[in-house]
Parts: sequence; structure tokens; C-alpha cells
Amino acid sequence: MTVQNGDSPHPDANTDLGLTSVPKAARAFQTRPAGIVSRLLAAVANFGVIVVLGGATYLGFAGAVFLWSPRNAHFPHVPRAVILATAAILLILYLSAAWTTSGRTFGDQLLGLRVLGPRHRRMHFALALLRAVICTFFPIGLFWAAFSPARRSVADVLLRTSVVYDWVAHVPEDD
Amino acid sequence: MRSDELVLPARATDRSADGHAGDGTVALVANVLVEVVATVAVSTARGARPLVRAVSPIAGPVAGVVLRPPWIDRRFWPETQLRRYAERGRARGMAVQRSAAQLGSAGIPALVNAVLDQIDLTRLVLERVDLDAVVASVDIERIVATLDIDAIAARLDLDAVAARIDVGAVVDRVDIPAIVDRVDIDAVAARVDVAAVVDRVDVLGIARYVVEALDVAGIVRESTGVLASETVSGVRMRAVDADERVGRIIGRLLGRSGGQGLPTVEPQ
Repeated sequence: MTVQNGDSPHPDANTDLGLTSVPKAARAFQTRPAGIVSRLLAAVANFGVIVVLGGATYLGFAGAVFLWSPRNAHFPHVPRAVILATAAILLILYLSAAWTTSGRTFGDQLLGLRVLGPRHRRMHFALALLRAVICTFFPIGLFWAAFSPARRSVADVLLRTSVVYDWVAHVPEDD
Repeated sequence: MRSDELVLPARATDRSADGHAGDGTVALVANVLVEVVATVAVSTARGARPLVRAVSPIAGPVAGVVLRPPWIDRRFWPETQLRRYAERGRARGMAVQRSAAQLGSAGIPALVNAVLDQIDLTRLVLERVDLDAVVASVDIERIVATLDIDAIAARLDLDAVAARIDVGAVVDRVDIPAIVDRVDIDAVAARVDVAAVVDRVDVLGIARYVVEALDVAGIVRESTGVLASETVSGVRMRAVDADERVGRIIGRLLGRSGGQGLPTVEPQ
């Protein structure tokens, strides 16, 4: 082994040394498929994120209306279809962006999960977008993970993706 | 005188024990003297030949008449008598020489032994011989050059020699601090290939041991942010436990084992 000035001896040296933030009790679960409870809680958290994002969007829109016409300022009425469409678009964009970049959303980060593509690599945007569409319009497909021996949801089965426990913060390689 | 009388004087002594011993000795001595004189005379005459030749024109006829008188038979010439004495003397002289040689070969060793018994030869050499001068005259270099040191060394039993050496005593006599003071540690250190030494050290193993001993992972966890806090870890662990329970329940309902046998997936 040759240690050069300023270089780390080995990229995986910290892992080899046991320098991980994962507690000993959770290390056995790392990289194993995540169960339905964790994934459902992550989805709930993601839904909360979308609610926050939607509310912020609505407030932003109302603020813009107030600046445009202060005399007639009021909270605009938004049809339910628009709300659902906006929420769906936000959710799809948010999920696909998160899965394409770090492989996990806020809910996944909170629960220590990571979404991986085929061959267990980071998904490219098209696949992530397709998976986000499926998850958005067919959320009940998530429950198939409770009955699947490999803990795969409908989206996972269709797109050969997987969700695993991964408490370590890192960016997986591209697919 | 006969030769045996000279070679073995003891016999003459023995014979002198009877009544004729004294006369025999006198006659013997007189006879020898006459023969010796004749021999000397003849030798002198031979040596004086040049002189004789010089005076021969005058003395020659006279001497010839004296030594060879014409009126006397040849057997009774003085010259004949002198020649007879000379021959006899020559024979006796040779016999004497032979007897002396025999006497020397037989008696000299005994004589020398007797002399040596009376002399402390070592002391004599030490007192009389300049040993320093003798040694100084020896060419040691030439002697050493003729020696085959390798052959001599090959015959030595070095193991036996080494076994007899008291190494502890030798080491006790060595002033190790003084030797260390003379060593240039900096120069030695400059020649050490540190990289090669490090290559042979299991640095990763040592680091792993230190990390486990110090629980560095725990320290890292304590120093990380909110998401890695104990609260988040608790939520995650509870979720994992719930996953396992739900998995076992559903697996039991579906008639299969729980999620313990799930394969691991290595994110890349």
C-alpha cells in the first residue's frame, strides 16, 4: 500500500474500518429489501412533502395575485382537479428527480431507504419518471411489497427496480 | 709398532702387565721415531729437490757415492734402507689415521654424551647465544609466504573453538554505549526505505483494531447531523422491526417462512 500526500488510502477504507454511522443492530439489514411498513411511512412522508410544496405553490400564487391586484386581493379558488393535477405533477417531478439524483426522497432518507434500478444501480431519468408515474397513479401497488417474497411493489415488478435499507449517505453509480 | 697396538691401547696396557712390557714400549717408541724421521727426511729430500738440483753438479756425485756406494751390495745401500723406512713409516701413518678414525667414531659419541651430561646446554645457550640476533636474522615474511593458511584453517574445528568462547564475557567487555554514540543514526535512517516498511505493515488491520477499541463509529454517530441522530435511528429501527413482524405475519398467513431469508442487494 502506498499512501500519497493528500490522497485517501482507499475509497472503501472507512467501510473496511467499520467507520459507518449505521448502528450495529441495523448493519445486518443493510442492502436487504425494505418491508412494507418502512416504504409506507416513507410514502407518507413524501406525501407530506408534496402537501408542503403544494401549499407553498398556492401561497405563492396567492401572493402573486395580491401583488398584481391588491384591491381585489383574496385567496384564489382552485378547482379540485387543478389541485390534484398540480399535486400529481409535483409528486412525479419530485420523485423522479430524487430517484435520479440520490436514489431517495425525503421519506426514503428519513426511513433509511434507497430506490435502485436494474442491476442495483441508480436509475436514469426516464425510468425514474415512469416509476414515479406508476407510483402516483397506482399507489395501491405499493402493498404488493407486503405479499411479494422479494418485497417488490407493482412498480418494482414492472420496472425491475428495488427498494433496500441503506442508512449510509452516498450516491450510487449510474445504471 | 703395529697398527693394533695403536688402535687398542688397552692391549698394550695389558701386555705391560707382564715383564716385557717396558722394553716393548721403548722399542715401539724408538721404532716409530726412526720411521717418522725417515719419512720426514724423504719428504724433506723430495721438497728440497730444486735445491738439490741447483747444487747437484757439485753435490750430486758426492751424494750418489754416499747413498749408493758402489762397493756395497744394493740391498745395503743407505738409500735402500731409507726407502724401506719411508715406506714403513707411510704405512704406519696410514694405519694411525685409520685407528684414529675408528677411535673417533666409537668414542666421540660417548665422549660427547658425557660432556653434555655435565653441561646445562639451555643455560649455556641463553648465556652465550644472542637469541635476538638469531631471531632478527630469520626472514619471517618468507616463511609465512610458504605457509598454506587456507589448508591450516580447513583443518581447524571452528565449532569446537567457538564452543570454548565465553561470549557473555566478551559482550561484557564491549562498551556498547560508546559504540552507539559513534553511530550516525541520521545517516542510517536516511537509508531506510520507509515505504517498503509501511508496505509490510497491516495498517488497515491496525486501524480496524483501533476503531473497534475506541468505538469510533459511535463517536461519528454522536457527531453527525439530525438525520443520523438517535431519533432518526430509532424511527428507522422501529420501522425495520415492523417490517419484519409484518413480513412474518403475512408469511405465516401465506404459509411461507418470514423475511429472514431475503437476499441482500449491494447498491453500486
